[in-house]
Amino acid sequence: MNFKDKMKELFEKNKKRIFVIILVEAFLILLAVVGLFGKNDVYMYDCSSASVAFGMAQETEDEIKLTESSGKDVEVYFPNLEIPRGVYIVELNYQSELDNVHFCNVKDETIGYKMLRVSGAVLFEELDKTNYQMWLLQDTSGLTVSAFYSGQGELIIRGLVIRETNILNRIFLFCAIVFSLLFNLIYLFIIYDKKNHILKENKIVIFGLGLIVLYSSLTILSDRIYSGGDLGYHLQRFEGITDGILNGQFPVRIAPEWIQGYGYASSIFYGETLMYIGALFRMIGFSVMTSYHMYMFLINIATVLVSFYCFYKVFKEKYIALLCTMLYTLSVYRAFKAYAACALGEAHAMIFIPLILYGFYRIYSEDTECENYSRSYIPLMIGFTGIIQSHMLTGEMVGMFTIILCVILWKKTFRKKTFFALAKTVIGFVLLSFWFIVPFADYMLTGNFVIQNVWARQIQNMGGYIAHQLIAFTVPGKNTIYSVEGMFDSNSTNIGIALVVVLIIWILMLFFRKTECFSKSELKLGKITLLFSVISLVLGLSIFPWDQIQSTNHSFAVLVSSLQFPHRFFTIANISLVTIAGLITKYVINRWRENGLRIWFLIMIILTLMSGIYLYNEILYNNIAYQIYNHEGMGTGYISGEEYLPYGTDAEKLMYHDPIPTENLLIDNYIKDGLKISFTCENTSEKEGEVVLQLLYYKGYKAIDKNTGKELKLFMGENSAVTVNIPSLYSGEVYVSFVSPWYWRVAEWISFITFVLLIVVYIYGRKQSERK
Amino acid sequence: MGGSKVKENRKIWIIFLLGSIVAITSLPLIYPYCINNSNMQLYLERIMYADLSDGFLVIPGLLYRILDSAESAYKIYVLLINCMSVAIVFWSLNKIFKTPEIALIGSALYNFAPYRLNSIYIKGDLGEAFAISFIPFTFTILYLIARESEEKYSNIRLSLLLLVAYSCVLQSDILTFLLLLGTTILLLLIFWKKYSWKKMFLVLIQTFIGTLILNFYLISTIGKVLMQTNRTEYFDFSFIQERGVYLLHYIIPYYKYGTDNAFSATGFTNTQPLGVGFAITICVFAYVWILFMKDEKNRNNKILGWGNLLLIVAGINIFLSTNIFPWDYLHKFLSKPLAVIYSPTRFIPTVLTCLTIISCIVLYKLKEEKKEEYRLGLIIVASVSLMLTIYLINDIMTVGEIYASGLYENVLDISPLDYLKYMN
Repeated sequence: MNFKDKMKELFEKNKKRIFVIILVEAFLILLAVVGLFGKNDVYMYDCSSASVAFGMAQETEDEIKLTESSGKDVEVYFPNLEIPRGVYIVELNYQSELDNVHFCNVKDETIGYKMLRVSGAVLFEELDKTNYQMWLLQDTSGLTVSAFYSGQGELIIRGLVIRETNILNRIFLFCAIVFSLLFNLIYLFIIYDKKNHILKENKIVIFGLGLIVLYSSLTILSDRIYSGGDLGYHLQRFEGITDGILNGQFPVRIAPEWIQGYGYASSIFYGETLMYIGALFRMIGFSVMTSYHMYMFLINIATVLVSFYCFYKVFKEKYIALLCTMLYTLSVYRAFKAYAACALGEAHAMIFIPLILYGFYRIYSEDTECENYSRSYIPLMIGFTGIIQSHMLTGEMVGMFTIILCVILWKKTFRKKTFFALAKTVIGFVLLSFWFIVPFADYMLTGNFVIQNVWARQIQNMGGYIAHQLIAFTVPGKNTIYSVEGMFDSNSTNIGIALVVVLIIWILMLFFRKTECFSKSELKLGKITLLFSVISLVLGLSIFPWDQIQSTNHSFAVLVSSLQFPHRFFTIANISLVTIAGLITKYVINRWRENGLRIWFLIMIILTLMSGIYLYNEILYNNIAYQIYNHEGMGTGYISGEEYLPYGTDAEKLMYHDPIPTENLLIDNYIKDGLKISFTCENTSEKEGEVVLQLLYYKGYKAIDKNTGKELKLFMGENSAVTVNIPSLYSGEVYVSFVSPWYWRVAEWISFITFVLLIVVYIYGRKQSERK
Repeated sequence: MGGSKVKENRKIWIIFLLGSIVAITSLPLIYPYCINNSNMQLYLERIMYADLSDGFLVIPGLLYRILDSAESAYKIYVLLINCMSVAIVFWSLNKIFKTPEIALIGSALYNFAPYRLNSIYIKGDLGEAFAISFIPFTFTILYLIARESEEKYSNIRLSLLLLVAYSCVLQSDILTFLLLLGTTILLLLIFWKKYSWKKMFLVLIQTFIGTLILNFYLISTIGKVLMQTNRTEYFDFSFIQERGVYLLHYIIPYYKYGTDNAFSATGFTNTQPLGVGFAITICVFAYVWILFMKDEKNRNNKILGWGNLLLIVAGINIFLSTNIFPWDYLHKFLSKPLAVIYSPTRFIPTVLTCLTIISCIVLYKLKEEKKEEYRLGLIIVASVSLMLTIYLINDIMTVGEIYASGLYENVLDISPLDYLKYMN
């Protein structure tokens, strides 16, 4: 009886119970759907319900005015607000003379632990109200909304509006669906196991993989986000996708609210396909922190499942795959990248790297006459597509090692079928990534951005020491430049003691020729991965002459500088050494059977506890922890190294502002909705005029006259701001928006069609082989 | 002859290893000074002025009068608590499993638990540290009552043992006593099928009356103090949920020195090492693994039956000890009882006891079924426990501040109920 029949029989036997379960779940979901409606209460408070503390203020009926004479850290607060639980938008009406110095927040000391989740927002000169979310999980009559005056400039408070949303019900609906699915899955597993007795080996694998997911998620099981170098930047990317989609873009090219609403084109340079899942959580209404935690949990699950699948396919042995998955997912390097440095792009890429390993192993080791060989390109194609759309630099590194591999195995590379498989890989991944590659290439070829002008940044001093590799209990230090402080408070730039032990054992095995149990292709795999791990380890160390290479010529300087950290090469060392660990495990099973396997597993678990898991533990205790709920709480200005700004832009000058027209223009009815701006404009003079808008110039912006549809001239103005040229004696309504060029759209369609075609071909192929 | 010599040698080894457990848990005492803790000042003062009404503090009080040093008396008292705890837990587990090695490992797991070390060296709640030594003892007596057919313990003997346990707990820490009482009721309810109700009823009635008589002075004193309304000033009626631990605390391998007890403020940074220890976590995973594998031969296994019920008790207490249990919701209706509980972490000793017994069950199962893996299991659990305990103790000794007499005010990190008895 096959799986399908077994499931059918199960459903038949448990019909009644399954029916009841589905009925309960449907009721819950229906309840959640009903709750979505009618959540539109508005609570309005004028200044008469506000009080002032820790200073003086000029109070009238309509406003409370704070000036420098009011004192420092004065609080204007709306106390004891009675509000039922729900998710709300807090709109504090204000007028501020300065940017980024005053703050608005909500507190409630009458309700319990984490019943109010909000991070507040800073106030800006050109905004007249706040607009942030607040998650209130308990009815209250003690809510207080406060504005904190810093003591500089003038701040006028004009009232408070709290608007109800149906976000809490959306969250409830989402949870009802997800928990129902999970419950069903677990229930099916239990009844299936009861009836068909799942194999012991499979149960060991399920249990083991569960533990790996649990321990790789240690840092996201608390109610904090632990800081790392790029955390702020990646959180902004999630927000960018969310805002972009809500602003009508798909796929998102420019994050509309980033850099105080100027819009940042990070999406074009930095693939974020996977991040749409995180953005989906934000769109449902989860807080920044919860969305991030759920997203990272899914990333961990994906890493575990993909690596298990790939290692199983390579070694054809579940226990070996389990051990490799543990070493890979709980490796120091992954823990460091995903949680200590918060380098999400690299963490994403690490999901796909095992696919590259499996793909190449399959292409080069499988019999070319084998019926399935024609489909051998698929893992490799998915791997490359995933990497390119996750982290370009990792893609470059993998590309470099791919070339080395193809050269080493040149005889096989140029076999007709192998060459075709490789060609299909390239064509497939290029077409699948066309929607990302075309805009990226367009900007890189036609624009001038900071990233193209970074060539002086030296990296050799950030390479690890050999000593880094040999230490066990590695900590998430802050020091990245070792030439100054050596290993003091050092970053976790190592591969972990477990993999070092693996490397040493493998070298000894090769030295003493203890390789009799391996097939030809396995031995070759071991030797090539050894070579790759040694090369990548050396490239990641400070002994490699990066500075000398950088000083050779400008192209090298740009390339080396864009690497940023030599230890990025440890990605390659990591996967290579894990593969070697799989080979050693095979040897252990062959030589010492089950007992040997147990001891080997035990050694590797202990070494992982001393390296990767220790690092997770240290992150929990040592890294600065944040609680970010609404994204305004972290601001919108952080752009990491400013790589994707038009070259020459001063990011500090990018603040909220109204349109700035030349003297001869009259501007009215200005509305800005993300990247869409409209205003009426009148030019009474014979001279042309210009309007500087609060948008950062990227290729794709268009300005039109809304009534006639005629395009107006638009160009990059001062400090890279979008500037619209207004003809003489013009009068009309101007509409500015970002429109993807037609060839970007074509590229998107090509990728979509390729994706659909591949699925069709895959399903058709599977069915054909099943029939045979 | 040979057999008795082996037995004798084994006994010596066990005593030596028990001594080693005491030595390891007492490592911070060999310091020439005391490591400061939240309740140090309170206890030193109590030691200096201890009289018969102070319960077990009379012992260090007496030592103070001999040594003329409150700090030395304090340290010796802590050492005595460690000795007693190691011995009691060993005795209790040996009664259940009748295997000294398992009882030894169980005693190590219990006494090495970060929660217990925190109670002694960081929180400095000696009353609680003393009291929690008796929780496994109580569990054992309840187990013995249930095993009526196998064990020939008279009702009086069982009642006396239970009386000793409850009285010692009550005399040293009232809150632990109340929670233990709650746990006893929970255990009786969950294990109801396993008890002979007549026997249990008799034993409990005898114990109840005995406890009441033996502790009448303390109970009446507390009653009197509670009746005085101005004593409520010592109660902290604020929310307690934020003091609950994360589920993570039951999973992480490495615990570190820290003094904060409110996780809402700092997350993990500088928080007290509250957990049961990673060696126990490993054993619990192994136990869940046994259940997950659903081996046919385990279907009617008696010891696993006990283990499952203990797992339920542990699960309930884990939930109560975390900050996900809605304590703050209950605050509206139960502000006084919650003020007495003071911190959800007070449920951890029960978790610790249940999970220690479950760990022993795992080892026992190994002994029964896979003899060759039994030794390996013992070595793994012992080494993990030892290494991680030394890691924590090392942190306590190197990061913990030295106590300097006269510099500190009472911080008081104990339940107000236990503070009140000193107010009399």
